[in-house]
Amino acid sequence: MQLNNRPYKDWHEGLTIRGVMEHMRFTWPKLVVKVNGQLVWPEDYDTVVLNEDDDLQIIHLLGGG
Amino acid sequence: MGEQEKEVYRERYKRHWMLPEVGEEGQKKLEQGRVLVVGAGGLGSPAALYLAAAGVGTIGLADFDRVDVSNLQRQILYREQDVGRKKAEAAADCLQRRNSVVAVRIFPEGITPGNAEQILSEFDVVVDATDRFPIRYLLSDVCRKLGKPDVYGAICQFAGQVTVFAPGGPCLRCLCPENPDPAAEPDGRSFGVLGAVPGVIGSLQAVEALKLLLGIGETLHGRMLLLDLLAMQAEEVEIPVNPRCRCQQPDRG
Repeated sequence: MQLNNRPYKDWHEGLTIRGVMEHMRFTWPKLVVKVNGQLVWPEDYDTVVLNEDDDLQIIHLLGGG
Repeated sequence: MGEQEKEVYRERYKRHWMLPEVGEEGQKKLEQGRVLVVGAGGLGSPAALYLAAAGVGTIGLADFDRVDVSNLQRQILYREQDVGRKKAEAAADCLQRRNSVVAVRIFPEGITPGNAEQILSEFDVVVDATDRFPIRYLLSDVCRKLGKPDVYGAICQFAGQVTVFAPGGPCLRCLCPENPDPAAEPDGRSFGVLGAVPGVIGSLQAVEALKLLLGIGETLHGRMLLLDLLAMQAEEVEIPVNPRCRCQQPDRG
């Protein structure tokens, strides 16, 4: 599995988006998540299960000006 | 305009006239264009300055804040002697010094849910140069309702993001829904920033606003440009319209 264009070594069967966020300690309250280029909304972070060949992108949505 | 004034005008915008995409016709479009810059801070400074220099006919400046000494590190609209002044007023003076022909309209009360629709309806393009999410969602929602393009720019530390939300494409809510508790949204004011970073992002917002007025080129409509200026890397993500987003519900704006 790829996370932000780098290999993600801790993939396991049943891994969810929430699982990756917790493992990687993504604590920023505003994230944009894409799996294989498809946008995933926050309400689905717990239920979307990642496959071994998935390409996951987690972007911090910035708000400063 | 007399012959002499015409000559000065032609000379002033000569480098625009030399561009086949702009030319005399394009310069007229800019002159008739109305752009609202919301937030006269790190992003709004370069954005408004370039819009004024380009000869955009009407520039709106909305900001409720006053100039603080800690703003001077990046907010290039202001001088040391402006500290303590209302930003909208100091910024308007700065723009008029740059280009006396531009009509600058100021909104020193800022944009609020109560005045947003009325103010935004008087402009062609909105530049979101604010620093917190509740107002960003408000601008995105009202722009969507009025059918206006919203040029989104944001920064944090060494990073910046730019996109254009416009009719037919995604809105900010398509990209990321708003937190039900606005207080839980990240505060854009609680981190460091290299002063030139908003300079880059605000300038890109000006480029997009000018392209929208001119109707030229490819804007960031439907895609977001992500810049990491510490690593000096650029990335782009496509933003699809989210069919579940409230902007797609026929009864919502």
